Amino acid sequence: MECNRIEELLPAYLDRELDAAESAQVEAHLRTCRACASLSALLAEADAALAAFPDVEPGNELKKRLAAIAERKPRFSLLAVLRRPQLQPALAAASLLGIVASLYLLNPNRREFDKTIVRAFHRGVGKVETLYSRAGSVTDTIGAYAENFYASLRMITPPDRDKKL
Amino acid sequence: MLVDLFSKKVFNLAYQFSGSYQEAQDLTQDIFVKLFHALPRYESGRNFSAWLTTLAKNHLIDEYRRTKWEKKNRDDFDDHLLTTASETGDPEKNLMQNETQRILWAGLNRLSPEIRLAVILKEIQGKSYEETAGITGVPEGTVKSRVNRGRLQLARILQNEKENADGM
Repeated sequence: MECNRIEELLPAYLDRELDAAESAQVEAHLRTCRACASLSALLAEADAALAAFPDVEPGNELKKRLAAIAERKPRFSLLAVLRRPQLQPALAAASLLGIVASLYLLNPNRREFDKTIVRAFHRGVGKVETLYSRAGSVTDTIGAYAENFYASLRMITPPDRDKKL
Repeated sequence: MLVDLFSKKVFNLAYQFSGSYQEAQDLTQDIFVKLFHALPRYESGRNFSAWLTTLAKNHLIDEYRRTKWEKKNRDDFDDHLLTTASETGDPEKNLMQNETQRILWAGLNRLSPEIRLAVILKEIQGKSYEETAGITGVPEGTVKSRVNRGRLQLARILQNEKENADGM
């Protein structure tokens, strides 16, 4: 393997994340290449030094400042209320309604628009009435057919059987 | 309560990222202001510490982009960190480790903010790849690649510094 490839593998090699074959290849390379062996040692040294980085205390002054933030009375924030996830579907519906309402209310040809709506409404009512009357005539026709069918049946049926019926 | 539990954690993340004690104090304060505003949006059941670290990370990256810290110098390692550095029984080993840490501390500034943050979370703060991925919001494979690139960059910086010191 070339040094560039070994360099790429070194972090995983040190973390013992390579499979046995790759690990053996890296080890063999490190035995013969001083530059890569040196880089591997430095990487291990850097890893150990980073892991041992000390934590620093924030200092009392900062802690006091942070405590003061916590003690501040929470201000009412409309934005915070509006951003609550539970309100999102209601807000989306209200926004849609608002858009529709503004399209109607701010329309410069509102009177014409009203007339169109009334015309469409009446046309709709007319259509419903037509459909209703057609449905009535279909019912009548079916009734007439049923009556004829019943009369025919009575004529075919023998008299004694007719009595039973 | 929150301040007692999390101020040190947030402050150290800010300090390790920015490299400036004064800057880290201001950043920690800003992060806590954001935290108290964001608390109503916290969903119970979520890991609070990871949620807070994500909030802190977002603020640090935003501020970095706004102010471009890479042009500034980091505090010297000796200023605050050396006094609290862990010591083993071997004084020579301590001295060597402190020197390595001093070089790495300065070297963190030469990493891109994304790589620097990944290295800090994984290598300095000891979080797992999974936790680091959750905090940074990128896939685990990306985190691994960033951390490994950062480690190699730091090893190279260490190499150059040591060669320069030997050459003097």
